[in-house]
Amino acid sequence: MSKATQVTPEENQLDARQMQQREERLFLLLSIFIGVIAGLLVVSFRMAIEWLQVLLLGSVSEPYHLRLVLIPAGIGLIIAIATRYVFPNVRGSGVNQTKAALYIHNGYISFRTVIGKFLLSALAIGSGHSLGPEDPSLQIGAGVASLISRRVGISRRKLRIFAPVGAAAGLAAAFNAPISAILFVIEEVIGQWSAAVLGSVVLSAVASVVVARSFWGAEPMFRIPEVVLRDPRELLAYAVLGLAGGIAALIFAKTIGWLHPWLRKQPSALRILQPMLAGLIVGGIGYFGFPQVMGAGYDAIDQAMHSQFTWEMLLMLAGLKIAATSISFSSGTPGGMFAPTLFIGATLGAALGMFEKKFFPGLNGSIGSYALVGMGVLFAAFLRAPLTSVFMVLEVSQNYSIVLPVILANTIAYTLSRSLQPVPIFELLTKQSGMVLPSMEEIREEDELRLEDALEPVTVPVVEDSNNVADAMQVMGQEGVVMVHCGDGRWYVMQRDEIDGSGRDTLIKELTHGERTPVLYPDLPLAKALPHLERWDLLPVISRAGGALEGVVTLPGLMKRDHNSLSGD
Amino acid sequence: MTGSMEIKRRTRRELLLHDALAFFVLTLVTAALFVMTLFLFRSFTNHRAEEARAWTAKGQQTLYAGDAEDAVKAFRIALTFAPGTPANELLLAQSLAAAGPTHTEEAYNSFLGLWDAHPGDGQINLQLARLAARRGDPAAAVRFYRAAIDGRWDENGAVHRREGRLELARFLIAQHNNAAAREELLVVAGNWPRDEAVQGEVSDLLAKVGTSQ
Repeated sequence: MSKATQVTPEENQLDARQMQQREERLFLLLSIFIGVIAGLLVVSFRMAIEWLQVLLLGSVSEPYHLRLVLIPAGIGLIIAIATRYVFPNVRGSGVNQTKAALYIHNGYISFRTVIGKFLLSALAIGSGHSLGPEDPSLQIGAGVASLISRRVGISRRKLRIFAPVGAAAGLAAAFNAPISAILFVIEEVIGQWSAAVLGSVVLSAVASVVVARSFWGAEPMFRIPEVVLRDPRELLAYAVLGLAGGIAALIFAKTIGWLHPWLRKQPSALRILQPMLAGLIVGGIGYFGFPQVMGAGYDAIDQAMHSQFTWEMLLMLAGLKIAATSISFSSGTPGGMFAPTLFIGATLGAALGMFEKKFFPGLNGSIGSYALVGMGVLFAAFLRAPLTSVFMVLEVSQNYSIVLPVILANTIAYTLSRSLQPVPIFELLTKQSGMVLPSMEEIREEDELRLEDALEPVTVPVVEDSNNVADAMQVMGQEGVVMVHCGDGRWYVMQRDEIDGSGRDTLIKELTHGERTPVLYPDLPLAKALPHLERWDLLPVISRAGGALEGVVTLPGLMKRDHNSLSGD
Repeated sequence: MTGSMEIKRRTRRELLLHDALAFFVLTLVTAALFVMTLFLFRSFTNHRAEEARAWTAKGQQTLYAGDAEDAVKAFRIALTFAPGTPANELLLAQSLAAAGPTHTEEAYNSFLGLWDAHPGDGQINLQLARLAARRGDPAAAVRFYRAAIDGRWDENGAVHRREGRLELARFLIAQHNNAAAREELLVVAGNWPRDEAVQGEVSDLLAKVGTSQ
């Protein structure tokens, strides 16, 4: 029995139905508790990062202070040692680790991993490593959910469902945006809409945001300036932003895609020094005039949104952030990529907005709008969560007038990124770590085969159940099977051996003994028919409108259809 | 049979107790975590508020002392501790404008950001007009001067509008756009017929327009 499996002695005494009822009762209540506790932990996590930043780097990060280099390097070494000897499972952002918990470890995330993720990510981000707190928050939330559900004695079957519930809570509190968090978990962790977890995911996400907002207030994560589309010609500029964002995302993904495995295959002694070297490089960038690149970079995002930089400086910051995050992340320092992605998007967007204001004064869209759309663009193109990217911008800005630019720019960036980098970054990192997790992009786009795809025309004879055996024998022919249309409108499939030995005047309805084939409609999935094909050689498929016979499905027909779909049809 | 029922009943009771205890413990954990989070949050927000106050005071001090460069630095830091404070945003933009040509672009961007939120503000438009003039963009300068004249001023609106119009006239003269400058000067003269100082200044400028013609 795995560590994750918790079967209490009481479980053996009660039947499955009673246990299920108990779990269903607990499920929603636990979801609220998970949301509240995850929300509190995420607020503490963010406060810990802020305090560590003040304590380690001082209240003000100004260039040319030696501590900007020494602190991230020193903390990098501590993190490397702790990661190797105390918390071996805290490397990485947290998204893939949560997916691995869900798909490989049956929803199990150890308490040690939660503690390690909290402490080491806070240390890394607080000391200036170019990483963000959102992805670790997601894993912390999932870890809390895993821990609580294990302690309460939830069955192995349900245990798996709790990880995404906690993940949504953690991310919702970190973003202060529940809808985006729910969508991200569905897009990137679960991969598909599932009614079984949706209610709990929503409940926990909302509970965690309520808790987070009781501390931070109802304001969105960023101070949003006036967001408005003033001139339809600006859509052209947003399209350019989509292109630029797609290219930036590609550079970012390619850099990590190359650097991450290259650093991992270095000798063990060198690997332990990598977080320190990463700290040295990121600190160096800060030391030589760009401290904005250090840490999560929320202040710089805010400044970019409020026109505090020139467009040249903004472009420089975007480029340096790509480099700094690639190095910090690839070195194995625990921390996320959401905040850096938003940073790159905001600076790129603001740069384009500034450029437009400078060279095309006739188009006077606000710089904040460009920065905001830029964040969505990078989210769509780099993290490859297109739906989340749109809702994130709408939720953060609380303004629907920006929806058109967001959709335009995000679609361009997403399409460009998909065609130039077919494997999404999370999937790439999974493969580089030697794991095989389902591709969320593929799951999202999977087209489920339905009965209508395997439907065959009715070639067997059809008789009414008011006919007698003689009538059936007459039409049966070589196939030895007839479809019986029963008086109640349903169907029965009769084999020759069921008729043999019966009197010629016996009515067919007497031979069916009230049994009927299952009611199948063309829109049902193929899997619905499979369990019944052991009993029936063929199954009638009827229309939902009036119950007219549409065709039949057979096992060879289903197998053929499934094979075709696997081989690309 | 009865024994089995009794076992089941007891098991169910035990399970109920187990669940109740679990939720009680969860409630305690939540309460403890809440207290810890509140302590962390309060201590940090207080720290931020203190830092913001200190840096704002420092910025104002240095700005009044004429050290705009240091004021820029101080107001930037103050804004990181208290983002979105309108007074500090304006002071930062003013410090950038006062810090000389090296900061013209940043000042212009800062004021543009403020303008996005307050497009009818006279002070912001006037600053933008001056910066546009400094950047060599006369069309934008004239546009912002006019917006400043028509804009909203918190106090002494009439005086600010007069000064703005005179400044626009001087700018137009410098741009050799004498006809437009004369129109602005005549408006000022018409609006302030009994103010001798104003009439004197208008006369001087009109004479300048005439001379240059």
